[in-house]
Order: sequence, then C-alpha cells, then structure tokens
Amino acid sequence: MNAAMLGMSSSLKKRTIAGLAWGATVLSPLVGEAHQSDAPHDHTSGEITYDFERHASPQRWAFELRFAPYLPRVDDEFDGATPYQDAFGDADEGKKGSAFSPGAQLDYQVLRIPYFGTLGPGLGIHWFRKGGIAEFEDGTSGSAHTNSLWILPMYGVAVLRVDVLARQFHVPLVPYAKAGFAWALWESLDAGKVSRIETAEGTDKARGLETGYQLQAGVMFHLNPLAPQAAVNMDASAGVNNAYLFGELWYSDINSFGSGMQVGTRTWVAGLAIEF
Amino acid sequence: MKKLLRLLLTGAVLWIVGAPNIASAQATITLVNTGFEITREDERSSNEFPLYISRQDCFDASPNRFTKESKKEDVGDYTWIEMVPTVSGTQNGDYIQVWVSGGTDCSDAENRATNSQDCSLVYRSDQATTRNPTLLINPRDVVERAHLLVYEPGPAGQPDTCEADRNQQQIPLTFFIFVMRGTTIIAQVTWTQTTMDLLAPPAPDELDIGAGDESIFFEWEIDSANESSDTTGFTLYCVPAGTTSSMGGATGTGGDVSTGGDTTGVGGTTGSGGDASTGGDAAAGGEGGAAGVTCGQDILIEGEIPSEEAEQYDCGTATGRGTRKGTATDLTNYTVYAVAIASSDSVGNSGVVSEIVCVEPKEVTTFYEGYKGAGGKGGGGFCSMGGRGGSSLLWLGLGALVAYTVRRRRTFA
Repeated sequence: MNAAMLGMSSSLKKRTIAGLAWGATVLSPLVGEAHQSDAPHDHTSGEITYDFERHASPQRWAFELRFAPYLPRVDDEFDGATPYQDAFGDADEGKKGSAFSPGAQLDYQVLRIPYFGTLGPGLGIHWFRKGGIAEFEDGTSGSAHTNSLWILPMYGVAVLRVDVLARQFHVPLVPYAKAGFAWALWESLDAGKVSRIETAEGTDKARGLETGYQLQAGVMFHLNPLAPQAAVNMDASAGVNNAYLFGELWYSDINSFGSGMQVGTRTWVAGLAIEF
Repeated sequence: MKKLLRLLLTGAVLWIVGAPNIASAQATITLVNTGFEITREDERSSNEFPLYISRQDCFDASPNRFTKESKKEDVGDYTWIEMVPTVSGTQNGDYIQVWVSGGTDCSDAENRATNSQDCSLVYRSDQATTRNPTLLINPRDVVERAHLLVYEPGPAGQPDTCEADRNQQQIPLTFFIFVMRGTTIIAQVTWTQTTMDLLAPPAPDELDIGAGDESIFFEWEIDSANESSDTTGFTLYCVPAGTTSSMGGATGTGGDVSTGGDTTGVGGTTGSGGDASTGGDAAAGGEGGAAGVTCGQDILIEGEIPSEEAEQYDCGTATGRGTRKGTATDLTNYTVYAVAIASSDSVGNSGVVSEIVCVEPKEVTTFYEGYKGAGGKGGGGFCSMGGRGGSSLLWLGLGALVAYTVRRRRTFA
C-alpha cells in the first residue's frame, strides 16, 4: 500500500465518521434548523433550498450503515420441513425466527451520469446470529441445550443511485438499485461447540460457505435540505456531500445455486448513508 | 628455636581453651528460598501459592507426628514441609528446633515457655552438626498446633483437625529455626513466606440447572457479601442417583430418586457403620441427614466439603472468580444425576457443596440434526463450498478472475 493509498484510507475514515456523526445530528433539530436565517436561499423564490452544485466538493464514495431484520431462508430448501423455524422460531408467534442484523456497505461511485445519477461497485457485509433451545427428542419440555446459527452475508454489487430528482428538482428522494454476487459463511453451534453429525463418511461439521446473488432496491431521503447550513459546513470541513436516511428491499439467494444451505433472505433494511 | 617452640605452645593452649567460645561466637544458620519446600503428590504451580499450607495439604499429611528420626523415605506419599538450612560453627550437643507462630516472636523464651498457641514447637533434632540438615515438618502438626486443635483421631463427633479449621481466615505463619545449645539460642533464622489457608470459599447459591444431550448446564450466583476474594473457580459434581458411599458411616439419605423434577427429601435416618471388609471405617454411623434433595445418593452432602470420594464425580470446572456458568459434558443420557457445585480458591481449597439438584440428560434434536434429517445439502466445513457441489468455489474463482482482468486492463490503459 503506497502513501497515497494510505492517505486516502485515512481521509475516507475521517470523512465517514464525520459524515455519520453529522447525519445523526441533523435528525434532531430538523425543523428549527431549516428556519435559521443564515441558511442559503434561492433568491428567485425566496424559499430555503439546497443547491447541490454551489456547495459540492468532489464526490466519489458512499457509505451505508444498515439495519435489518434478517430471516434466513433455510426452510425454502424443503417441501414442508421447517428445521430452521423448529429450532429458532417462536411457536407463539407462528415460528419464523428472524434476528436483528447490522451491516455496512461502501460504494465507489466510478461513473456520474449527467442528469441521471451515479454508478459504481459496492461491497457490503452483514452479521446475523440466532440462538435457540434444542428440544428433547422425546417431546418432553425443560431442555436447556442451546444451539445457534450465525451467518456472515457478504456481497459485491453494482450500485445505481438516481439523484437527478434531488439535484435538479429539489425533490429530496434518491431511488437506487443494486445487483450482484453474494456469498456467506455460516456455522451452527451446539452447546457452544460446532454442531456435528457422525456419518459413514466421517464427521459432518455444521458450517459452510455458500454463494449466490442478490438484488436490492430502495429509496434514500436527502437530509441536507433539512439543515442546509450544517450540510455546507460538513462539506467544507469533512468533504461530506450528502446524508440520507434510506429504506430498502433486499432479496438474496445464497445457496451455492442449489447445492448448499439457503442462507439468503427476503427482508427490508433501514439505515443512514452518506456520500463523500 | 626456643622462642618458636614457646610460641607454638602458647598458640595450642589458646586454641584448646578458646575454641568452643570462638565456635559459639561464629555459629550461623541461613535459609535461602530454595531451602524451603512443601512436597506434594500433586505439585502446585507458582499461581497456586505452593509455599502456602492448604486444607488439602493438611488432609494429605501423615496422620502420625514426625519425630526427629523421621526420614523422607518414612513419610511416603504424604505431603510434608522440608527445610534445608545451612548451619555452621556448631559443636557436639547443639541441636535444632523449629517453632511456628502466627506472628509472635518465638525467640523470646517466655513465649516459648508455654508451648501455647502463640509459639508451637514443630521440630526438634538431636544434632546440629551437619552443614545442611534436612528438617521434615508435618503440615498437620503446624495446623493443629497453630490452633490448639484435637489431634486426629479425636473423640467421636470431634471434627478432623483439617476440617475444623475451614472457617478460619488465612494466617501468615512465621517459622523460627533455632540452633540451640542447652536452652540458649546460639543462631536463628526465620521464614515468613508461608501462610496457612484452610478457609473454604462459600458455596454458590441460586443454582439453576438445566439438562441437555449428555450435558448438564449450570448457572449460579454468589452473594457478594459472602464472596471470597481468593475464589478462583468452581467444580461441578454429577453423581448418578442412587450411588452410595463405599466409605461407610454415611449420613442418612434423603428423599427418593426423582426423574426430572426436584424431590425434596425428608431427613434421613442415621446411617449404619461401614463394612470394614470393604475398607470402610466401622466406626459410628453418620448423623441423620438434613432435609433436602439427595437424589438417593450419599456422596454429595449439601453444606459439607466434598469428600475424596466425591472427587471421582467431578464432571467439570469453571475457571475465574466472576464465572457464573459451567457445563458438564460426556454424561449418560436417561440417567438421573445428583448435581451440585463447590467453589475453590487459589490454593485449591474446596468450599462446601451447594444445594443438590436432580436432573436427567436426554437426547435432543439440534438445528443441524433437524436440517440434515430433512435432507439439507449444506454443511461439511467452510472448505466444502456449498455442500458437495463445489459450485461456490467456481463462482468465487470466476469473480476473482474478473477482478484480476479488470485490474490488468486498467493498468495497461
């Protein structure tokens, strides 16, 4: 890694932290901030607006902090059998068994398409863990035998963000879509140790690496217009161009194309994103 | 020549007359760190304070007092204290005494006069003419004399010397090693690096026990007011229900064996004396058992320090003072166990047995068993790449190839 890359990495980290901090801060004084007298004004209409072009520093990256209820589609592999829900679902709530999954994604906006948006590759990672009790085989209650499943879904996607509405028409919405390759590590623990089954061929450990694909679509709500002066300051001081709240639909199919465990999901994601 | 002869004669006379006094003045005794050792069958590491006398050291010591004739080969597998001081300048008739106290100055003849709790004689040799004498001391002697306890075997019902002291706090000991001539100390050295620690750490309470597949899961709490500062871990005990002691004289048993749920037993009847032919002591039977759960066994007794026999049923350990969870594994499914837990401290002292719970491990169906049982194709390890298909490897390789190609094209461009 050369000095330039090191510098870029350091700058990226600084910008990301500063941007996320600002994104979180801007949410609290939304209304009050919008009426501050020193906010930029559109002199033709007299209304408070945010001018992308006037205040923009160079923009190359996007970073997302992501939060999702993750329900792995393990049971999709079977016709009728529901080993995942049996182990980790809640019978009182009709089983299921989703768990909170935090994640992060970093995009490199290689291409800016004039009057449309940005396009570039992105890498993302999530974390999922679900624990449960392995019930007694004889059907009696009272088992304290824990077992769990953790999944580390990762992906490399092409990201298209259509920001023309926000940039040209002052509509603070940025629709986007992502598609690409996905892979995931997973492991199931049985009373704290890797679950295993003895077979005629040897020991079968409950862990694996699955591959597949995924599609995501969502919309980002532009926060800059709510706190224009803070946005200008953040851009000037840390190079953070935009901050967003976003919601996304996430579909992934990660079962090694039919030869492994289905650890993909169909869920929604919410989070905070910045461009810098 | 005459002059020289006179000189030699004078020198010889002076030497004969003055030698004892010179020797007396020069008698010395030293004891370096390597000259003190407590020899045990199971050595303790440096973290386990090997120079401290624990309750187990007391139990493992010879039941007989050591005499001045005791030799290493006589003490066998027992635990003993061995001191090897370096002595010089002594003469025939000098001898060595070792006194122990909890802080009192035993070099003061008044403190030694009563051989009381303040200063106790634990060793006396016949001669002190050897340069490096080996002094063997019985830890049980030290414990007994430090507390004026009844020497085992005591009267019926009298607690064992080592057992009786389990509630005593740690006592830093001072060993005084004297070279004596008559009743006069002509040289001395002290050893202060040994502490007597027989204190049993408190038993965990609020025991929460759960069963699993060949496993039993323990969770517990300890009242912070009772928690011992030198607790270093916990020992889990699992005794199959119905197991009875082969030692005889057992405490009466409590309630019936229960499968699954707890059974609160009633106080047991007085136990019968053991069968001498099986090695048991045919002495008086045990006292009536306390009310509580026993699961039909008499190896573990709530509130008592685990016996040597109970150690055979050690089914797991949990290390660390703050640990509150532990798991016993490799148990037999569909067997009811009486389980309990005891704390242990840095020198290996065991605390008393906690409440006893009856529990039965049973086979469970884990997620992975359910998954594979339903025909699931995944698993086998991170390197198996999507079950047996290997397509994941193909895709990952393809991805790496594309990335490499793009990078090369950009470099050349």
